[in-house]
Amino acid sequence: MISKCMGFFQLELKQINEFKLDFFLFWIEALMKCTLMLLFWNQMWTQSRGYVFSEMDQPRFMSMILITQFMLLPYRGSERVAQLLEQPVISGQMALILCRPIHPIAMNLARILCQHGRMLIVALLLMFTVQYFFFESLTNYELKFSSIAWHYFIPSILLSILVNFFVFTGLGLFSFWIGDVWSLLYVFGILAGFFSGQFYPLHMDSTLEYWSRWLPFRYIGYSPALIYMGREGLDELLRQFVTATALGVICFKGFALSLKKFEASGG
Amino acid sequence: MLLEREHKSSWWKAILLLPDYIGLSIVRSSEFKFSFYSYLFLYVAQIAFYLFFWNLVNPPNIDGWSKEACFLLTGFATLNIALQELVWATGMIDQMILKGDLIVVLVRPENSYFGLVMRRMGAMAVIPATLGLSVVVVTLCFYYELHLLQLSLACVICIFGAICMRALMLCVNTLGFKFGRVTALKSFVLSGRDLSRYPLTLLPLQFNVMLSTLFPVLLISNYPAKFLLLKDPSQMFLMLSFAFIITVAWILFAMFCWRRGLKIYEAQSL
Repeated sequence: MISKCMGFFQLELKQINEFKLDFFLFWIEALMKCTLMLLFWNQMWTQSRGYVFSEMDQPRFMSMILITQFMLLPYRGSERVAQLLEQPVISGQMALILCRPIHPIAMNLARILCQHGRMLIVALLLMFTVQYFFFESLTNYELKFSSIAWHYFIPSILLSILVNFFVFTGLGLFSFWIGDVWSLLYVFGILAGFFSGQFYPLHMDSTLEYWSRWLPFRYIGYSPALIYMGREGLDELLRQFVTATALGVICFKGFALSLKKFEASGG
Repeated sequence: MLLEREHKSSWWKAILLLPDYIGLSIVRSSEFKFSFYSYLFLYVAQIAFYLFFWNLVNPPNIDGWSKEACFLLTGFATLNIALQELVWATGMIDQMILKGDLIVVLVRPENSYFGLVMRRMGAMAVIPATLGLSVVVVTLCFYYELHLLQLSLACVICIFGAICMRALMLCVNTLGFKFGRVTALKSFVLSGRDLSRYPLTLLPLQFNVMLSTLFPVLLISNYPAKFLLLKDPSQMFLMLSFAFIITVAWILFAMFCWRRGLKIYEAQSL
């Protein structure tokens, strides 16, 4: 799997070189949306004249939104993860993939680790730059690099890649049963949008925050952001680990079950 | 030659074919039942989540944007997205250019662009459009007053918004004649849909100008919702006229880009 990772990483670098315009437009679009979201909430707080939107004060609220947006940036377009399973199933090429010596999910994981890893590095570099130069002026919140619990944050961002991968691979498994999974991906996209902290901090409402713990979307971008901000620590990391493990087991078991269906229908 | 045909081609012939296109679209949409029902569920879920979201945020009438006004916004955003879905083929023209399939449409007697869009229309988008409109009507009945004329004019602005966004999409697709792949730019335009669910008129003036002219997402939901809250007829007229002017400008620009694109296509002997 490690040798596969190296191969896929080289492929990723080649793709960036080939589609330079796409690569830059992707980041420009993401940053523009991030800026608009930040501006929108800033206007809401400023113009509401004293109205409190959450248990957090305005600086914490704004910084939480900013960090979560950066943490979620690498996972834009994650439906490609599900397509890695869906397309071979629909085109009938899954049989060829199964002949290879590496497990299909492990192979997809190697590919996604490189793809999302590369994007995560860019997102983190952007986030550190913003934090160093503009963070205080943007959010009125002072966040020092020395106060970040790196020993929790780094495992947390690695686990977030795994959680995202397993969520979308799990959806991709449905293609063995229903073929096209685009409609499912859209519905999940909305759920993810609401329970990932993308549009607003989940701590805005205590009931919402509690129930979001039982869904995997929180552990994609919101958990690393919470740990980065120092609001959560080992507890959140453990929850993230348990979610990643459970989703991993479901995916591998689900794949074995789906293969039986694939075999039964002569695939 | 293609351009001459484009000038001579008939809009009327495309309109005569409309009932056939609608029939075909309904058959195609209901072919895959799971996709059809989950597609409808998607719209219902979207509306439910955004209503829940605005209920949670509960904005205290910030520059006219109260919780109820945001409900109207949600309704119009859904209506507009459904209207855009009705002519979703606009977003696939670059692929047809790349594959060289465009020639099939260009040699037909009906207007090429209209024919291209209509033969792949998503007629079932009428259902989510009705859902969106229902949200607007119910909100008006419960929290405001329902004036049919004002509502109709607000819907017209919403339709203007859909036309502008599709015209913008056509312009982006026309770049496909020159550059081939325009996927990233298309995703850039599509992301405007997400933005339309927020009261962006709250942003500073320069953003308001940009988002109502160059990237006209404000016409999708913000202006229609604001229009319903206006009391002064002169302000209503001003907003409607502004939306009309922007729409005409976008249509003319899109037609100019499309014809220029066809010239490039012809120059490449395709």
